[in-house]
Amino acid sequence: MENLFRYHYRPLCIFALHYLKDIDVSEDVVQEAFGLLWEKLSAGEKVVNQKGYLYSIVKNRSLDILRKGGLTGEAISLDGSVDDIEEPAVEDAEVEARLWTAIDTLPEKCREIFLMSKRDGLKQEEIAQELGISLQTVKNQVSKALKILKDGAVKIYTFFV
Amino acid sequence: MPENENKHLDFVVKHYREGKLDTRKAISKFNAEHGIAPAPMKRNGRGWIYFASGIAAAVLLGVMIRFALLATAEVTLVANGPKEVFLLPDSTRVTLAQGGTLSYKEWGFKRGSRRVNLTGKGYFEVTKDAGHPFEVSTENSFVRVLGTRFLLEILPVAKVSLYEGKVHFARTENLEGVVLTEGMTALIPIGAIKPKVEHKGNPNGIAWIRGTFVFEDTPLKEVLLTIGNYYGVSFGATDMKKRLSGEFSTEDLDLIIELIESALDVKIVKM
Repeated sequence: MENLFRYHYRPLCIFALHYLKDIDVSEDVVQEAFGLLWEKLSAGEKVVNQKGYLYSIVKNRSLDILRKGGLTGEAISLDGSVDDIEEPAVEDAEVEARLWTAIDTLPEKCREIFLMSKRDGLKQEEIAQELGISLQTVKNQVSKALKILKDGAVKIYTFFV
Repeated sequence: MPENENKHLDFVVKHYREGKLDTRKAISKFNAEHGIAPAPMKRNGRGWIYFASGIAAAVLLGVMIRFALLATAEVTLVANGPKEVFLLPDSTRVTLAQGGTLSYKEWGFKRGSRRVNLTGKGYFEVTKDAGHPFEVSTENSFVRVLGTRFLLEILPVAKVSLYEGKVHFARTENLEGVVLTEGMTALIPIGAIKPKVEHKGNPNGIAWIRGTFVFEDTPLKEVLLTIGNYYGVSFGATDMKKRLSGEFSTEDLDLIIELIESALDVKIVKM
């Protein structure tokens, strides 16, 4: 069970995140999926494709949540029906999980600056001012982060192809 | 491909939050919710057994020795964190407080003999099995149960608090003991042979398991003593005679103190 977690926990969460757009709810859904698998296995049932089972549970639970409109925000204001949502590819989720891990492993300062710039949409000048560092440092850190992540991503691609 | 790459990165960056998707945390949460014991630490020379049997693999005698030793092999569970939950082979759930250990013979459980040894403090939720009593031995006490929830503390004196069911509590297996029923607590004073029964149960004995303190019209003095014992601190207050009712999470000491101060309009100081 622990190995299943190690291999599939993050990709499954990212997979759910494509539907739900909420990281906490995604983690809950994935926990639930592992719980269901565990119950099945403890009851002596055989699950041949455990990975496939987990993904299908996560998909169905995520769609349930969207249908019930249990989440506020982006997920609800979808155009069209829940059934029109394109199913995210498992491979994409796996690549993205690795990128997430790569961001985790960035040096702290580098990560902070990178996220302020790319996630929070701050201008590089604003970041420099906020953190009291030079504009050049901000530029350097952002490109350093991008380089690390892209190198990482390339490795990931060659790994998968 | 670079286009794809950006799409992936943009998605991840957009949702990235530090400390989220922590696989290790997820595993602990899962284990706690499903009562799964972390891989137990095995002791008593099992590694040696494998080694020995490896050498003598082809020799029948070697195999026989291995089985003979396996019969006496002991599993030892150790709580390294503040509390850890373990599931025994018969589905009994044991929560050990930090530093507590529990050992048992795996072979024994397979044959229906449910005997464990405890050091430290353990909370037991014993699986009912009328034909096979569950027995806990400690250095200075012995408890026999038939499906129940109880707390057994060994330090500094052996003390049992019963939350459900019935247990027999004695100094040793063969000495005369007492039978405890729900809500009763008993302890064996140092040097005594027979346990002393206190009829008053202590709902806060398992505060560390439940994660809450429960008080019902309890004098502040007693409230502060309970909380203080839990956190290992002592308190003073402006009016010890006031009484408190309510349930408080054990998570945040400062918050509890604040809540009590405002509820009772007193000033509480850590000493």
